[in-house]
Amino acid sequence: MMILGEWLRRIWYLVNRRRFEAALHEEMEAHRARLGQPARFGNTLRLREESRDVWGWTWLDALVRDFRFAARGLRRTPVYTVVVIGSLALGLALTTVMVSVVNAYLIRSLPYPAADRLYHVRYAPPGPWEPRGMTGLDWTSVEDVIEFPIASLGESFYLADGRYTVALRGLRVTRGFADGLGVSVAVGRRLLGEDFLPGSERVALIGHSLWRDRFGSDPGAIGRAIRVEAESRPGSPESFRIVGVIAPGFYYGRDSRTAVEILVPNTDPVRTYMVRLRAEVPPAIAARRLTEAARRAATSPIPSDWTGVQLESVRDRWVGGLRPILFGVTLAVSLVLVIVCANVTVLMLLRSMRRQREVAVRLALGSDWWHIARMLLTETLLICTTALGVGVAIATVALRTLAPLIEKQLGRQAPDPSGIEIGTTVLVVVGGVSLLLAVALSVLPLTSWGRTRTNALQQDVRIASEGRSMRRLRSALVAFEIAGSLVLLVGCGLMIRSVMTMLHTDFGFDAEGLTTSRIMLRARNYPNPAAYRLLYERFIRQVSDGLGSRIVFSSWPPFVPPPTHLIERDEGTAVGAGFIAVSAGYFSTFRISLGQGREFTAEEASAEATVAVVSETLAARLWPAGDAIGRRVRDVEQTPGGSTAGPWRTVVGIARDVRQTYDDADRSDFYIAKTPDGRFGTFYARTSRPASPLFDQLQRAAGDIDRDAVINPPRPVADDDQTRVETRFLTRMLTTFAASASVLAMLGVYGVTAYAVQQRHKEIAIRIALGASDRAVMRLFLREGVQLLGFGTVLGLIGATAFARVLSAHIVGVQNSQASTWVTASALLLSAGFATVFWAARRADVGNPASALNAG
Amino acid sequence: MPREDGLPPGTLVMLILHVLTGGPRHGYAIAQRIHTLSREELSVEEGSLYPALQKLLLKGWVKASPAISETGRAIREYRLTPSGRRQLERECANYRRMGAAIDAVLDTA
Repeated sequence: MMILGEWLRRIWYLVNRRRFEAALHEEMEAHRARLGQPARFGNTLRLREESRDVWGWTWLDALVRDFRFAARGLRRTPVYTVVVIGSLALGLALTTVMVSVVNAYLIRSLPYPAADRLYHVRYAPPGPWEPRGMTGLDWTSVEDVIEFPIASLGESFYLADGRYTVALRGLRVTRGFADGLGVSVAVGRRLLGEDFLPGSERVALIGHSLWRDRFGSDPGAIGRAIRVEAESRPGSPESFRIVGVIAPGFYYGRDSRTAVEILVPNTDPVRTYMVRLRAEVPPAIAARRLTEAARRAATSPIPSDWTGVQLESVRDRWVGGLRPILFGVTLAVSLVLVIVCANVTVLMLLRSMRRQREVAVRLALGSDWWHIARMLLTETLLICTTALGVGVAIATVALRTLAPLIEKQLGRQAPDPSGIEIGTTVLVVVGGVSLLLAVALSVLPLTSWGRTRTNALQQDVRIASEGRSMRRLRSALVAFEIAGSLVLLVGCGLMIRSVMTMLHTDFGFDAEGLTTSRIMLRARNYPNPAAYRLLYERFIRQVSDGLGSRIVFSSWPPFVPPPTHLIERDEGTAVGAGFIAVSAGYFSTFRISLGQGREFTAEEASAEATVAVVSETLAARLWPAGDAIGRRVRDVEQTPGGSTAGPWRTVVGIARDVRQTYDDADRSDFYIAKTPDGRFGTFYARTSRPASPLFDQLQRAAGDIDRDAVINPPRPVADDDQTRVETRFLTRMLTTFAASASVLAMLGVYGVTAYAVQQRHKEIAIRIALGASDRAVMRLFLREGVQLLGFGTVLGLIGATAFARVLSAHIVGVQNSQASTWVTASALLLSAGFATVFWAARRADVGNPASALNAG
Repeated sequence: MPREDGLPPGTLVMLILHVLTGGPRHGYAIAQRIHTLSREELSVEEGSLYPALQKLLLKGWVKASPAISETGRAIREYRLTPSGRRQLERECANYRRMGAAIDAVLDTA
């Protein structure tokens, strides 16, 4: 309590200092005047200072004084100040953006409560088979490890909306979902326990965009009814009372780019694919317990090689794939920051040389090293704090445009709806970095002053007083900058090559100009597969006529490796190959050339004729003699539940190999002719029509044949090439970094050379007076500059080797052994460096040597 | 340590606090009073008086208020606070105990 009182009095004194000091001054003068011998009073200034020191703010006074002094000093050298603060600000801005991205994706948790305890449940390895009976899994038997089984059933709800039917993406959710994921609402209320009781009122939450588009964002929508027909319950429309609007940014499901538009309580048995574990429960234990429960619940025999239930962290699945790319970016940004620091250190060292005399005077007047250090630290703190402020401001403005671009390039949104932003965590991290920088940047000039002796006052500090070690240190820093820039340049060059390679990669088909969409039909309208086929054929005819080019269906999209079936030839040899079912005209639409034979006809696709087309690689593997046409072959689909053999087919064509990915090793593909005969069909068209009128046309064509058919908005097939998108992003970034780093390195080279020229002014004058030509003098500096460049380049090549190795491990198409990239990057940097040195060395022209010597 | 010629070390604060029990005084008056009460044995150097007064203000043992001196100049008068009074008692008790202990040592051969 007493200590609190004392501190309050201290602060009161600080706030009213001027008044108190004035009063004390008056008081002392009055006292002094009353003394018979005023001199007895002593030095009033010293007494006032001692009195002031009692209040304990001496350190603050010293700090403010140091800051004012530092600010004055920096104002006197505006060019230096602007360059240093500007470079640091840029480096810190880059760091802020990078930390924001890493924070948004890798550090911040998903926007669900206890998100670190959320796990995806896999009952079997990826594939079509799963143990049967999982809907009957007894969750009470594992409730000591599983807090919530989070289950939902995806459902398409059809809302008749004027001319077209609109399909709403919906979820029927269990109570565990509502409690475990904590679906938050923007308006209205969440789903509560009583909504899940049998016989309770049918309620629903609607999505934000649905609320905006259909109800005009009217809060009065709460309480209204919405009437929809579920795909799984044809002919039985359901009416729900809207109780809430889901907050925007709630994504759920495999394709988490589609928002959920309607959420209703579920009462049917359902398979659970996500759980929230209880606190402190290791996932391995939970997985083991779930495996036992699954075994108990299974209603079909489980194969002996079943690996059991696996748990995968929800966060890992969402952002795991991004770790390598973010790691690469972090490395690159760190390198740029280090180069910025090296540059700033060089400039500070140069400045510290000029202040040696000042430091010597201070020491002679009684200052101690702690005071000198404090002075320097204050100056660097001032620089770093200003740079931090400017850097964060730049980053804030930049992120406004960059954030959506970055999210698009990374292929998924940041887990938290607030996106990539500069929050408290980011500010703390970047502030810490800035503080570390300030301390680090003070160390080197301090050590350079450490060698100052007081007799430096007597010597002419400007002649060779700086010492070889200081010169070597500066040269080493600049060489390091050159090395860093070269590393970035090489990395950038390799990435550019990678993109070029990708752009020129022949996938075997032509994705440019190819558009894809999907049609979805209602099961109630189609009693059997033949009915579906009829519709698809009509649809193909209608749309192909309208577009003037054929549309084709395929069971598997490009850029994704297709499922592998065993392909057996008549003599028994069997190999694995990708299996794709396609409609007539597929090969010509995709521009996959046929080496031999022909492609499927419409009749063959319609009748599911027993024909097949094989890829060149598959043909060579099955019939090395090269006589594949006319041969018999069949596919065998293998699942853990058993294998199913298809009918024997005749090979009618051999297609060119198609790659699905950039590093697709196995190009054996097996095509059969088939018009789709199910609810969904993905189709492709080669057209230049813009997306919106195309969508309209497709919807009209589908609506004319089946009013209930739903068409997805068409999109370009080339956009599905995610690898290329990511690589382009990384390339653009590296190019920016490499360019900035190179500019900074050149600044460093210029600074060092120009300073050396200035320092050796007298030496140059002497040399010229003794008969050296201007060119000879310039050659002197050129030689030193070239040595520096050479040393930096060698260092850089070593660093670039390591960087290239990291890149090639994570990025497709990057190979270390692309000599031309290395040579080009080195040549670029060396020529820029040489030009810079030459420009700086031109200042070695002293004019009249005598006056230069006399100028002193 | 402030220069307290003639004053035993650590006693200046106690003496100032004691003088103020007689009512508020300004700095000059405090010094004069100590000099007078000690039969001119003790004399407080101005160099130690004012820093000590600041310490008393910081600790909250005295309060200062503006006043006008007898010579018409602006000064500050210091008055004892309740916590100052308690501190005075503590310091006096301490001083007396020390004194008795020293006496005990000196009285023994």
